[in-house]
Amino acid sequence: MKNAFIILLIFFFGALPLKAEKITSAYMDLNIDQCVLMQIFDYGTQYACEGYKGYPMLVGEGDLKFFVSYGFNAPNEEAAKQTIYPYNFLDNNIEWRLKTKNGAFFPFATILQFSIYLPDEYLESQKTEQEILVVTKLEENNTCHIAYIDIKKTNNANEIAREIADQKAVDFNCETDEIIRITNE
Amino acid sequence: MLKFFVSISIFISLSFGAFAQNIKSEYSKLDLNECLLLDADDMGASFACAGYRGFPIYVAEGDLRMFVSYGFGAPNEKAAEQTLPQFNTINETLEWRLLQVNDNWIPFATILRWFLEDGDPATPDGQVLVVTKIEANNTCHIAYVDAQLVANANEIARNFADNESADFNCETDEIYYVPS
Repeated sequence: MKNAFIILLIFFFGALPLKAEKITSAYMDLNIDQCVLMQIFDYGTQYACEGYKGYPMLVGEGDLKFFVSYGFNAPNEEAAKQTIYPYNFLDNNIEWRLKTKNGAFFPFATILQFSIYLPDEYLESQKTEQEILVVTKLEENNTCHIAYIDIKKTNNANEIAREIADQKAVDFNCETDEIIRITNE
Repeated sequence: MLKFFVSISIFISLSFGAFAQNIKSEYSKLDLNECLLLDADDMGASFACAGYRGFPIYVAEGDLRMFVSYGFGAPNEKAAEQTLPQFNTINETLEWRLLQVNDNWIPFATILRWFLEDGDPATPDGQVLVVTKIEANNTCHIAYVDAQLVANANEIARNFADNESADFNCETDEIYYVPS
């Protein structure tokens, strides 16, 4: 019911004539083998990967989980501590949501698929439990996950992820707001 | 000739000392048109650029001078406040010095050519290779090599990068000038 309400809300806002604000997507490869190792800890490693036009991107790996954060303050952002339990791996393609700033496109959110698995299942059958689209908002000192969309249980999950990015990212407060969870069940 | 080169290489490798460190260079493009404009005002502008395999680069332009810094903390590193006294611009090719650690190549320094102008058309413009060490919270210029006065400027810059970066303390150590 709550989810239906959210979908309705999105539909409502989506249908409103927006201010003439241009939003677009850029898709980039994400492959840890193409990234550069920044730090090794007892519990994991941190890489820098190429973000949109050089927007800094940090990928952390620890205990069979990934953490992805953005910006020059990436290691200290909330996103650097956020992941999905129990175990996961990342898709090798990332979507950047961009809008114009200073006359050029500038990223304000990303959409990235996390595949969730239980270790036994993954080792035996490469089976994943869930596939979640994670929407992350990008803002210095306010970069965090804002929505989780269950791909297998949601029709047009990618579209919904984009809508949430476009409608919610700007005002989302990483300290006080709750992550939006979408499963059409 | 090849033999001569090989023996020189061996000599250099041996003179590095007991522990054989693998060091190499990679080159990346540094074109502000391909970077992300972070901020712009009357005073200048700042950019994020992609470095070696996505290593973060911060570039700022202010008062007709360039500032280039590295890493996730780039805007807060000393390098972000360092430039040369003359009006200057930077080259579009950036050399990275990389150290092999197991299967990884880790950037520990960069070498970048800066073009200098003192505003007087009568005097020739200058070129300086700036060696910057890369280390979290300790990223700064460590050497200035005059590319017009010094014959093998690139090689000397690499030597400074390889031999002085690791121990250079950005707060207390003084920048090397070649010629001094």
